[in-house]
Amino acid sequence: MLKFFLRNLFTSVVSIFIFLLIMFYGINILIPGDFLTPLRLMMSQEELDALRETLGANDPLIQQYYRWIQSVFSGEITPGGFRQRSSKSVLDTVFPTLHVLIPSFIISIYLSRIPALKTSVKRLGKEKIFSDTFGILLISLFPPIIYFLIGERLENTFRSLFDRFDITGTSSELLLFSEMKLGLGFLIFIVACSFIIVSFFEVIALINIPLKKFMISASLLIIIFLFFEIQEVVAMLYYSKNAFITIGILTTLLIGEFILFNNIIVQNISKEDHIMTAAAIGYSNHKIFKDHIIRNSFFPFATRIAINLPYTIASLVIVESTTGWGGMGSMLYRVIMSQDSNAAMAILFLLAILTATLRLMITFSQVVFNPQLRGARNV
Amino acid sequence: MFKLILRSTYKTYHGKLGYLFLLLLMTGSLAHILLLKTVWPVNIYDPIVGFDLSVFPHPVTPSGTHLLGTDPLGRDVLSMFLAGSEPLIKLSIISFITGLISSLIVGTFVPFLFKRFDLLLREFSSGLVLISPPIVLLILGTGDFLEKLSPEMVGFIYGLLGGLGVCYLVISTRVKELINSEFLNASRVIGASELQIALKHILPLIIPYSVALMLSVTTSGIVAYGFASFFGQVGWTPNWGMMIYDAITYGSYLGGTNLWNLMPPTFGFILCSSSFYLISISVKKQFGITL
Repeated sequence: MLKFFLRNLFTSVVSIFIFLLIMFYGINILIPGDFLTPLRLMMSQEELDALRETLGANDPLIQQYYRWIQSVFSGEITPGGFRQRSSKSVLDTVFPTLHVLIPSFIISIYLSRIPALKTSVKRLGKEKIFSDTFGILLISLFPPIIYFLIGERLENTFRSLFDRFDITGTSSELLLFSEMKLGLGFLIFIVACSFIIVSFFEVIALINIPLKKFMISASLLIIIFLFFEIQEVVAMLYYSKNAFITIGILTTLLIGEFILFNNIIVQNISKEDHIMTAAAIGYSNHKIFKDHIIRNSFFPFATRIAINLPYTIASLVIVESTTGWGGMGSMLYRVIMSQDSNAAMAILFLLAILTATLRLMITFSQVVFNPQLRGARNV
Repeated sequence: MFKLILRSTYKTYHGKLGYLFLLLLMTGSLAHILLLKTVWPVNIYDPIVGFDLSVFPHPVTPSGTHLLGTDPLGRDVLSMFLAGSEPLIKLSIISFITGLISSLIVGTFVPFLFKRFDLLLREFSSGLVLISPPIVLLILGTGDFLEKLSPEMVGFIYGLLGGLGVCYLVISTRVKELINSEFLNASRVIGASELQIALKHILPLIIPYSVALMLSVTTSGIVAYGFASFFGQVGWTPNWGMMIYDAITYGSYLGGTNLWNLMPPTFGFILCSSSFYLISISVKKQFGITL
């Protein structure tokens, strides 16, 4: 197991550095200017040239890449950057990204199962042309269009709720959410809200009464009320307005993607002997789905999510840029537009780490929880 | 093999619907060229610079002269919609062919004939898989490359990223599963060279995998191009992303954002990406690919 873990870790690190090398060359060759270009409005050309020489911006690219990697290992991911684009400002985008990414995953994973749950077992193995087309429809929906359709409605709903319960906030308070305590607190809060949303939809779809999910969300909310002051909770509620608009759009895209995954996986599993046996014995639809299909579909589903992660990250860039959410996605868009190659590399580095970590987690969970795979590794 | 894929995919509902959507898009693209040459005056119906002086203020609702209305800049929405299908069809076809050729050439020979090089290439592919194509388009569109960023070029880049990335990883795994199969050993015993085995036995078995994967990748390419065009990163071509951008941005200043401006490009994207994805599902179904 340890050997497997180390080999995968090594492969992921190598992949990240190959990816970064390609992106470093790509960014420096294809984007005109360099990481000092944004300073042209504040400095004269002579001063900029001198600074370029001092910081080695005129050196060969391979040297610059080596220097950048060195600085990454010493903890500075935007070497030669200036105050606006320091490592801190880039790292500050990590929590906001997780604040929208994790809830979107939770909501879309559960909601994408609903069409399959409402289908009888006999029909699960058949073609699902409407469900497939619906999934593609959601994927192809443009984030700005979803924003146009739901953004204003959500905003109005939140505004009326804020007015009724006297919830106010300021932009300076919002900046605090990138910091550890409040950032973590909001993550717990929004995960609790995600479970409440999922439970609500499951009740509406007459699937079951999701007691476990209610319990999880209640315990998470109790943690919030125990460890945070009332002003902080109010600030969290205020902050959740923009978060939910972003989550709403990202979730719509992810649900489409996951419905397509589910259709293929469920179709394959439903043709297996144990499902037919369970149906022949007379198990209910719900029991077959819960005990046989969902459990077996977890790993193929997780593998597909892992493969599609770069596309999910791309969706994040577009959705965040649309809603103006201050995560890694919108920051990447802004720094590319302002030709700040160093900050772009720093964000790509963080995104690559995020993707690789999620992939490693999925791979290891597969090996740990799937006895067939564990057996194969041991052999 | 390709004939077989075409014939067998056509037998499923997914395949039929996919081909129908593709046919609709191609017909729309051809109809636009024909209409502009015969019926539509270029100064009114040009998808980029057209403007109807006889109606005011723009945008106008759908009517006899403008079947889908006009956008806030006075251009005919139907003309823009029909013209927008051409770049996406070009992009999809070039992306599919580039990815297919690159993945088949590299995927057949490298894991089978150059096993040591395969390890290196797999690492490279794992790095490529991390590269998100819309971000690549965003970077390309920022630089001096913008003018060269035609749909064909985007399709080529996308095809290479897909073919040498995720497609190569899947195909090389499949080839490794096949390497020690009995029928290959039997071919070796009767004197077939490794090259012959690769071409006659391995290649036909991995073509459906490559086709199915590249069709799925092309679907993502269509969506990625849409995003890039929305951000104005693909040069000055008529496209649906730009239609959405103009409808929302200029619409907010000029007469409001209207659904009739937004629905056609959205419908176009859905039609285009569905066509390739549905065909991909059909290939997977007919050839028992459980990816």
